[in-house]
Amino acid sequence: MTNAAPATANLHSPTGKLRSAWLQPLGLVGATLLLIMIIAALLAPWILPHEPNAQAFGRFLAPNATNWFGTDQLGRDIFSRVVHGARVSMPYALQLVVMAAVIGTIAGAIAGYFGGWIDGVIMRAADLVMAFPDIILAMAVVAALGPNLFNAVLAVVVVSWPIYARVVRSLILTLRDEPYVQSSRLLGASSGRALWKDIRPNVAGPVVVLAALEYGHAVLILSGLSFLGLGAQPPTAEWGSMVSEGAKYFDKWWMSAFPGLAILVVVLAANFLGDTLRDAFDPKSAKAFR
Amino acid sequence: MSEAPLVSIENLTISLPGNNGGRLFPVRDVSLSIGAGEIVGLAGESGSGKTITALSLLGLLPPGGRMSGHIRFGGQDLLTLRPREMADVRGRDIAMVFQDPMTALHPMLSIEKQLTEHLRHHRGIDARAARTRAIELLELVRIPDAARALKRYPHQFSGGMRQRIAIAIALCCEPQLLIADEPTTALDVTVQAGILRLLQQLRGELGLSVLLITHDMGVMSALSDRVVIMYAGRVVETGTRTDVLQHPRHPYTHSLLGALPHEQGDDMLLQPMRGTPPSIGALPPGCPFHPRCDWAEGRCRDIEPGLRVVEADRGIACVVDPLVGVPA
Amino acid sequence: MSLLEIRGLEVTYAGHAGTRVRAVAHADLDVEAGQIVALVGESGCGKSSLGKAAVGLIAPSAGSIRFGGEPLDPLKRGGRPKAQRKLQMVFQDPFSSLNPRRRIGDLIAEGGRVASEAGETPMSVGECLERVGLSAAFADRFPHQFSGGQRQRIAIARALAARPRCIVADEPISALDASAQAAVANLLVSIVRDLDMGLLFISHDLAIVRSIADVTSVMYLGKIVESGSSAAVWRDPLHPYTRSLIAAIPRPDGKGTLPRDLPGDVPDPAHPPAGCRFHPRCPSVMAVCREREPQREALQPLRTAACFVASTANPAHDRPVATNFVA
Repeated sequence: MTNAAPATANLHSPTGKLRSAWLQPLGLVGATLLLIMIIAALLAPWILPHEPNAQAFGRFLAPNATNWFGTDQLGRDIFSRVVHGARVSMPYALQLVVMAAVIGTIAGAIAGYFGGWIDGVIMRAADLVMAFPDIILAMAVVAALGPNLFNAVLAVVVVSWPIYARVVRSLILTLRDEPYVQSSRLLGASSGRALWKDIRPNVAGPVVVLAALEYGHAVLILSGLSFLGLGAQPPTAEWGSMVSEGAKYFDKWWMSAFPGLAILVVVLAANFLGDTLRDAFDPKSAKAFR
Repeated sequence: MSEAPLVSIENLTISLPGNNGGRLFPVRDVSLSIGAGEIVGLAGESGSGKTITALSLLGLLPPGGRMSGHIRFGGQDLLTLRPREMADVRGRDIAMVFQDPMTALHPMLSIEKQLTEHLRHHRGIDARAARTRAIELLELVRIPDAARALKRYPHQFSGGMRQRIAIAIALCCEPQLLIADEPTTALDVTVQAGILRLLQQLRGELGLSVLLITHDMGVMSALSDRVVIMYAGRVVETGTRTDVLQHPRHPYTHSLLGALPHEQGDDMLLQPMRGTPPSIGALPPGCPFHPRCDWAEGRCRDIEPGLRVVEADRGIACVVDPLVGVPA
Repeated sequence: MSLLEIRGLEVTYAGHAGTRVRAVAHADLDVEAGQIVALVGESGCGKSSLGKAAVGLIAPSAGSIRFGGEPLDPLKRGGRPKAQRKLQMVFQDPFSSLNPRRRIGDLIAEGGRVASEAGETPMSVGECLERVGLSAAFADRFPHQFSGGQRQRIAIARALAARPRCIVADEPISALDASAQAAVANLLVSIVRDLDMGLLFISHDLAIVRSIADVTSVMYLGKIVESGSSAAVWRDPLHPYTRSLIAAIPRPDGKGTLPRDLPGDVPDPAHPPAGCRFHPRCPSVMAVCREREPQREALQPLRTAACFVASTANPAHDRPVATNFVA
């Protein structure tokens, strides 16, 4: 039978794309890490050995058997505070991302669909916001509203919506010219109906991907605002403010290092997940899941 | 062929990683040869394996691809070469021209840059000599006002001109074999005629061998000396252009020619083939063409036929061979 | 009164640096019920623009389009007027003419809705699929599960479900394999004949068009340069461009003859040549061709051409004004 798999001298596995072997596991890693942190955050009150705000231990203790991450200047267990920090940063960042995505998507859809002066106004507003470095603008908004976590979230939403608006608007403009949309129009669908039935399903994917990629960014800015004293206020255990406190006591490295590490892990994990989602949704990518 | 052919592909099989961890075989036991100064047409529809066969000549398989068999060229077996050695052969002894002239040229480099860079890499000559050679090449491909053309950029040329420039780049190191993968498919028919004429002239002037890959049987007929027809990863028919196109012997070739608009008296006929070419991941058992074949018999489902030499320089892969002596 | 009547159509785009590009410069075309009219030309001739304007996807800058006797308006924000939904289009790219996220049954049913709104009994999804040679069981699948030729059939089924009176097909088979091309071309022909529809078949492939179309119109740089029955245009072309086009087609006859090439390039549509648009490349150019633009005239019974050379060669002709042909 001439079809048998021939004995191949394994010549020429030319420039194998190692990335394609890498990238999928990375998404799994990212998702797993996030999941672990979410579960830990949810179960924190029950599983943690110590209260986050209890000044129950000696001050400035280095990491040891009881206090895995050491203690801070008020004798609080840092490990518990880091885990509780997840209960602050992660949900707030999620809320922020969802709000920014919704506002940005609606704005972008209106701009793309109606065009004309509405498009001009919305896009100029977006340009205005994007012209500022995000943390500076966020600081200004928080300063105006009063420094607390809720206002910090609002500030980051103000700073983040434009990117969704831009992406959605250009998607809509591109998709409007696709033959399948034109064919719906020819069959009698109004612009609005075509937008809803044909364009919307193809917009959801990229927006979800963008949101996943932006999540890590949101965590970062939120922590940054708290670091500057403009977000979570003491005694709330929030990673950014913990890093800020720890910065005053530089030789007590564990006070800043662990919360900082937590931020790093979440941002990386969100990025891995976002990358994998983007590849999964890209119809042209060979790595797209079917 | 009394003298040894320039390139001889023997029993080439290519495998690629499949979706579920298995392997696919887009090219199975393919043999073909190209003589010096000969134009061989490699025809087939999508999924026939023609492009990947051509890419294998240059060692440009997709990631995870593996080959077995032999590709004899210039006294070597290309499949045994290391990537470095293959890179030397590529571009210098064997060159390729692709389908889309819009993307074949770097949009931001001048024509002179694109031509001379290639020359200086492979031949290490100085800038002045490279420029002279570049002008020669542009004149060879009949680009008017070659010296001025050197200074221009790809977007300033039409599709046909860009394809000529792509051919000039391919020829800069005087390769013995030029692989042209659907070189005129993206061009208008009036422009296509000019490129076909150019390829024939180049063969005459330079003794260049050409492997012309196309799905257009008219292009094959105009330019090829010999013809190789592929279907679903196998060679199903070979022979001279006249023999294969006027007296096709494989049922696929016969049906394919029937599906093209062909004149019969005062009418132009179009006789479609039933079914579609199989995908490589879902090949029918036995002969891959049998589900669409008007002459299929029971045994066609059991045996995948190899290429059989039926006359001098004529081969078909069919156990039934129903078309002996029947004209197209 | 033709089913689809185009008169004096002009389609203009804004080009680079403020230039205006006339993609279609004064075209007249008619399609009758039961008739297949082919519009043939190479890239840049404006045939796609003409097709899109004919269905209302783009707004013409001059001229009139009438469908079923009524003027056709270009698409605006609202839904398309019901009467105009009987004029449908089949697009070139089988991969983007179907929404990848919708099931094909749903896509075809949308066409059926048009028919019910017009007070007709819609064809069922299964019927439409079978009419184009696919199994009714495919209705639950998504477009990516089909080959190019099958997707084109689905696109035709979707147009068919609306029970159109006329279809404009913009290069419907160019993206398909040779074996699929013949099949889909024949499918279109059989549908048009069975349902007495009109078909405007836009293509660059003169040979295919010769096999399936009743009337062929040849376009060059925005103008229709010749028109007539397909057999006559193929056998005895009047316009030098048509002659060059036919001579450039390589025949799969095994004889090894090189097709004749037409030197020069298609001029920039933003700056067409003075006089006859084809004159810089014309093998039979005369002095007058450089100065004046030839008008379309009936040079033989039921054949028109816009060419001084051709009118000189065909002096004994009436000059009927009508330019529609019935097969």
